[in-house]
Amino acid sequence: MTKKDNFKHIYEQSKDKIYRLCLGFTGNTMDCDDLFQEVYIKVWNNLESFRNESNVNTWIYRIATNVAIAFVTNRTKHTKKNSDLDPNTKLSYPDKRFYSDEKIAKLYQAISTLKEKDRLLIGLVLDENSYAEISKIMGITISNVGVRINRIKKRLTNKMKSNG
Amino acid sequence: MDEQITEWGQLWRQQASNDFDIDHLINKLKKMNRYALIQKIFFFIVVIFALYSMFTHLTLNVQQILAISVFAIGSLAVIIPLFRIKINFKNKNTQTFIESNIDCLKRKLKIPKVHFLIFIICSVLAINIGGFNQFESNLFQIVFHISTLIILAILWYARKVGIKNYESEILPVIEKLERMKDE
Repeated sequence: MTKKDNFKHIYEQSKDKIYRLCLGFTGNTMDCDDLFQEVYIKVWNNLESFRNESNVNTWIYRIATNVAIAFVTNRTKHTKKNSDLDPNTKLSYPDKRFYSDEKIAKLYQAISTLKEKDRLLIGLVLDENSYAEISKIMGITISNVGVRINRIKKRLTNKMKSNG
Repeated sequence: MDEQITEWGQLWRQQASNDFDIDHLINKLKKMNRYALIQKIFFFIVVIFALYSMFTHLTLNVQQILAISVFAIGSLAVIIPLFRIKINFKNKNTQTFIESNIDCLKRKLKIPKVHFLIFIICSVLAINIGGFNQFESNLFQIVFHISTLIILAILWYARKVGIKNYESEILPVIEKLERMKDE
């Protein structure tokens, strides 16, 4: 299998879940597209280092979560350099028409207002990753995953209620 | 898993990805890789040519060799950390990535503070060694050494500006990452 074929195979397998993680993380389609593309650039650049030693799911999620963290830090640098904007300020407002359902839009928007690590964690949970896998991706203990999920659930419920 | 998470999960998974032209991205990445390779080859050729010119055109006495060596040490003190400080995205969990990112940024802060300082000292020292006892007139010799002090002052000022810029850019990022790490 050539590098291109291998990359395409991984892309087809993972594109939807990575896109959802990016959308939940950024809360708007414009930043989401940038982040999504950045993830696959890193996947391409690091493809040789993936030798099926670990699960492809864990590997790509690790890249995606790390690129998401780097995305926030880059934005912090950028905003400090160019303006006094809060680095958490969204560059564009979420386009509700993009979402297939109003409820989905609310969910993604509510998630994007959580703390950075919580956004990633809940994204992994909602895409049906096991606690053990999330623990490997995020570098926290399995029991800590459970504790955090409970905390995020409460916050998210409140946010969903306050958003109507 | 409780009902609430299951319901959110069902909603979450309904969202599909945008139509994305992956072939276009692959072609772009291949071009970027080719460009990076050309840059590396060009850099290698320039280094070889510089070394060749240096050894064939300079009068290589002990004084000149010492001056070149001191300058090379100073340059390497900046070049090596610039190439070594790279953030690794693969095979790292989020927590380790955040920690290594903080470490990288802290090392980056040292570039103008420590590494550039070594470069400044070595460069000025190298010029002084190279130019020592090279003028017939004592006055010119003194003017030469004093002018290196002016170079030192300019580089010192550039370092000061560099430190300020690095700090204003990097310190908020470190602060943000430290907060994320502890969350």
